[in-house]
Amino acid sequence: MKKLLSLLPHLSIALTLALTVLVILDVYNPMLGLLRGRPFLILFFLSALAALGTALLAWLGERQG
Amino acid sequence: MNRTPKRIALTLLADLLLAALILGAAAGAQLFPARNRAPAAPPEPTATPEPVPETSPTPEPVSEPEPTATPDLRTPWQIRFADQFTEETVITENSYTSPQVAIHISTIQTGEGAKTVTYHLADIHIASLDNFRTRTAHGTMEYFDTQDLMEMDAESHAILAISGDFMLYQDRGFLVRNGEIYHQDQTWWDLCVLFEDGVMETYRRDEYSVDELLERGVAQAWNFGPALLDREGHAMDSYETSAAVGYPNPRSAIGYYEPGHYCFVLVDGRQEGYSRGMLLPELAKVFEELGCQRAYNLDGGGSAVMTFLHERYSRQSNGADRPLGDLLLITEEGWEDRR
Repeated sequence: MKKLLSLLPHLSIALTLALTVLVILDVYNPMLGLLRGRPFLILFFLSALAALGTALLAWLGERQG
Repeated sequence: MNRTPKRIALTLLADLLLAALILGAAAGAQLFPARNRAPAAPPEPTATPEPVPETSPTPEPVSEPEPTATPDLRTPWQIRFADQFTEETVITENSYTSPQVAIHISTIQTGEGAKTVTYHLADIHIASLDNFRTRTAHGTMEYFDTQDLMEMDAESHAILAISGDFMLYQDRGFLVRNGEIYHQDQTWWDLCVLFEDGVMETYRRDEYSVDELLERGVAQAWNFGPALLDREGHAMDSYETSAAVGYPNPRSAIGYYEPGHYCFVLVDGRQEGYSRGMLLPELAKVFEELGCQRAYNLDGGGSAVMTFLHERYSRQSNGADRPLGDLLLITEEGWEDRR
């Protein structure tokens, strides 16, 4: 479980990078519809969950420290 | 490098690789879902046709036919633009005239050196909307399908054609082709509608209701844009589009003067010294100066192409044709046999 939780920040980094690239691509070619499909929504929620998890871990770690 | 920084670098690299994998999967899933997708549903019927009243049992007295005048079988547009049409089909390298279609193409060059711009203007008069058609790749609605340009051009019997709005890449919006309705959602961008009476209108995404449009009778509806002219026929102040507006590019666009009279404009681009392409405000200015009432930008870049008499008329930016999703075209029955 601890190992799994330690992966959360990395997942958060990766998902945020992927989302950022999608947003930049959409600015240049919105006709691709990259931000309108189900894949984007899934990615967005995964990213939000990963970010939330990472933030909680950081907060708990800070309190324990 | 000691162990810790090396480990950090490797971890970040792993994160980057993971990001690339996720990005690839997400973009792939969005862009190439077609293989398992069912073919597009047949167009929904818009309204039940009203029953035709039965003929009256008591026949009206038949009046004697007038001895002289032969009936004028011309369409209203043939009468209105009589000076544009010819009795026989006449074809030159940049014009086509017949009793139903009149096309005159002129190539205009402006600017000098690196700022040279070349565009082709096709002035179009038609006898009826049957002469103004659209065609999708392979004539079907297969999502993300494309077809070789010249193949599509030949199969659609186009006299004149330009690239469309890449409709097969659009899974929503308000899409109508040749009277058939494929999607009935609000669009994300400006909309262009060619009504069955030949009037063309452009709308911002919050300016219309799909039901009202359908009630009026829609022949074609394009989702790309942006609209280039305002309601007074002046170039727009701002455009509902992406950052690509900031660069000169090859462009294709359609203009509207009045029912039966339209124009296609194809701007060559990305070829320094011949044509750098146009910015959208420059393209809008062209339509304003032509005196069009409405104008609408279509698919540009490497997709922008004009064909005439089954030959490529514009000069492709990368030298080769890109397979396309759809075309706007002017045609008439049996014209190839009369060449």
